[in-house]
Amino acid sequence: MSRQIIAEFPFVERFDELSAEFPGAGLDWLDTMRRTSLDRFNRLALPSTRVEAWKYTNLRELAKTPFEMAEASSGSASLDLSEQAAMGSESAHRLVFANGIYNASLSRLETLPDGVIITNLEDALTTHGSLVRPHLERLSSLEEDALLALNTAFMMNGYVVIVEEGIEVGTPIELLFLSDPSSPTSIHPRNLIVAGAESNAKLTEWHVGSGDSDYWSNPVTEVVVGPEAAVSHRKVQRESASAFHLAQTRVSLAGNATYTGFLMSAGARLSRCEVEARLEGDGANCELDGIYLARDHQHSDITTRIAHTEPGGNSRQVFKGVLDGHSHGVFQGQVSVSPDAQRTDGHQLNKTLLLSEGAEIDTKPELEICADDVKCSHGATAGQLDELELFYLRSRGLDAEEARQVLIRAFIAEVVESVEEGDFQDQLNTIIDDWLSNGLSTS
Amino acid sequence: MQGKAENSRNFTQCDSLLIGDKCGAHTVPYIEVKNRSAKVEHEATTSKISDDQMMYCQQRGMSAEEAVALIVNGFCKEVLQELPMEFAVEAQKLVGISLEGSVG
Amino acid sequence: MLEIKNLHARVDDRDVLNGIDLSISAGEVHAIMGPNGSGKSTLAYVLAGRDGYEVTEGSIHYQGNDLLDLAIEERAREGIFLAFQYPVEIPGVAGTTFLRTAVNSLRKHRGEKEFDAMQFVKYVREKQSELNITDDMLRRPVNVGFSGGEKKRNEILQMALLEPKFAVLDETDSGLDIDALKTVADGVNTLRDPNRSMLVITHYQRLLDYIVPDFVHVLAHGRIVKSGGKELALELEKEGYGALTGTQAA
Repeated sequence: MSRQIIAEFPFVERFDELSAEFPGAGLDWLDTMRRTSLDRFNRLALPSTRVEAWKYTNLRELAKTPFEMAEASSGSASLDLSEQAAMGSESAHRLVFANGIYNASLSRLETLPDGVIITNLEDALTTHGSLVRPHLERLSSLEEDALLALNTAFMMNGYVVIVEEGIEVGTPIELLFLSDPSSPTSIHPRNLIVAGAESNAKLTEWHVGSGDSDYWSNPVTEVVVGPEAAVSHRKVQRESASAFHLAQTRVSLAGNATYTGFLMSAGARLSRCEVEARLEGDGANCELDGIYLARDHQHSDITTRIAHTEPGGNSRQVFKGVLDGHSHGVFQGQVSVSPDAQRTDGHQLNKTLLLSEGAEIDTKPELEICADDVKCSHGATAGQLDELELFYLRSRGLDAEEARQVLIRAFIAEVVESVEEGDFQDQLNTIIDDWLSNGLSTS
Repeated sequence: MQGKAENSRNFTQCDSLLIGDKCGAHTVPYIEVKNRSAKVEHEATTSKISDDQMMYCQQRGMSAEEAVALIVNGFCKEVLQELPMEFAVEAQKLVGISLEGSVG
Repeated sequence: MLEIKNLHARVDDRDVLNGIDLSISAGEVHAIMGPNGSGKSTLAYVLAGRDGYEVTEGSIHYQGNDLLDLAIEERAREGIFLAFQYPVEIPGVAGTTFLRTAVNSLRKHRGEKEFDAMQFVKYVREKQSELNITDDMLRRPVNVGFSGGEKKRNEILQMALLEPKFAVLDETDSGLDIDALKTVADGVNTLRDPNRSMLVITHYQRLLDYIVPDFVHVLAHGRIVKSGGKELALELEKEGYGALTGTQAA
């Protein structure tokens, strides 16, 4: 078996034709970068399960689907926002991307304080090109990652949030990615968050889809957290049951910077949420928490990589999953500590509940420690609901279904409660209720 | 845990103790569970000897070398005592040899 | 025996001791009392030589020599013993192994022959029963899974075995019920000796009903604000620390 899966995606063949419409088309540096990345993707191809990092997530089905590129003509947001009960709040800056296309009329930007840029990539390339370019170039030149290369070659409109030194963006920022295309469509949003020294920002990404058509969302988000800055970055993944969602978030943290990441992954037929955080300054803090819920034949992969390269860093991760039906969960969590990263504190916990006979979890924590003055740990558990606890609840009058729901909620509660804001907690609880109310297997 | 592994139980603990600043520890377990009635738990820690433990031993008159040797022996003991006698004796010797010159 | 002069110390960039003067002669038992955060435990750690407890001013002389020059284990070998407020757990190391290693370090230092396992068991057995320490406790790893009372009794057993000249008991009463407190106090009292001094650190007067001190000192804001005989402890019990430390702070 080869380490590559060769796919012949129609949109990749049509690169030349499509490239004239890309955001920033005509900028020499960007055109070159896209071209180089396309060559890289063609050389690398999609990783097969022979590649260690993809051991448990198979892209074969994805490779078979004849994806086209999202275009303005592939339909705009027929999604009714009001139907997405759990999504968004009234008082927030909001950017909306429908089928990969920026939708100005659904977007809403309140008056922005000085020193804050919230815009889409296309506009940012025109008006703030010199701010955006170094970040795009740095990430794109970094490494041999096929999906990153593909995103770079075809990067579409994503969001750009730049906060200058010392500025606190009080109002939360919401980024909505809505998808309901009519034919197999691939979407490659490219996002950028840059928080200057001692700045502060809170963002929530929603990836929501509907409809029966296959689509593939392949977003890449780069997050640069400056010295003493704090970024809270949440993401909710509720793509449609026909969707592939392969997302990468790349975070770099300077000295005493804090990144608080949260992930709720509940949708898509196949999803992989990959987060990489590099603690590149003394005393950087990274907190990553998440929940994954899967049923039927869903495949849900959470992959994290935390790299401690400087002294005194802290990282904490808690991921909990609930798997029903014939779903397949994957958690891969790598924590590496470089020789210079003394006094690192790195902790990771992964717990999965298996509700049904057909559900499966594969967990691969990875601790790579090359410094001696560190405290690192990881823990992983997998199992079913506790019989005795179920019995206890039923003896108090709850029916079997209620008892199961109570225990499942209790299992994830710790992670929900790690979110500071009540509003977002409520939204998460709505999603969980919604998920539970769709019925659990009784076997 | 394969699909037919009804009511199986596994607990794995993997702790690494770091001595000296040129060492490293890589812990990469694979936990694959295809049966919900199986209960799997894995724990791993990596740390250096705690300052409190060193302080406690030294307050009782031990040198830094003696303290490290004692703590490391204890750390290994939990595993060694599970081994058959003849292995345990050999392993114990190895612990002793590998500690020589580790503090300095 | 011990002479502390104008001792200032800092921990984590915070000044905790702000000029302590204290003189303890052979055979005396002194008690240090004070509210939380007054610097009691810091004083204990400074005497034992813990890293991170930096003496910024003043001196400590022990048996005529500068104590601050000595490393932790050198102080221990010269007869300084600290009974920890929170005895440290050392997984996998059996109590006997720990004790024998410690006792032999001291014997080696004094030029005495080290105990072999059999000799040591005999040596421990003599002291063990008085403190109600079972063989099982000695087989178990040091302090791991011990109750509060077991940990403190274990500290006193170590003190009995190491035969210190100067012992600091850091809140040895904390977390003990009345029976455990009596056992520990009896253990300490049998170790009172004309050649052995003790510094008993405590928050409550209760312990001093059982270990009766020769002198009592009240510590507040890193200074000794009042000294007296054993009756001072009773006075404090009645009136609380507030009156004393409040006036001093003003």
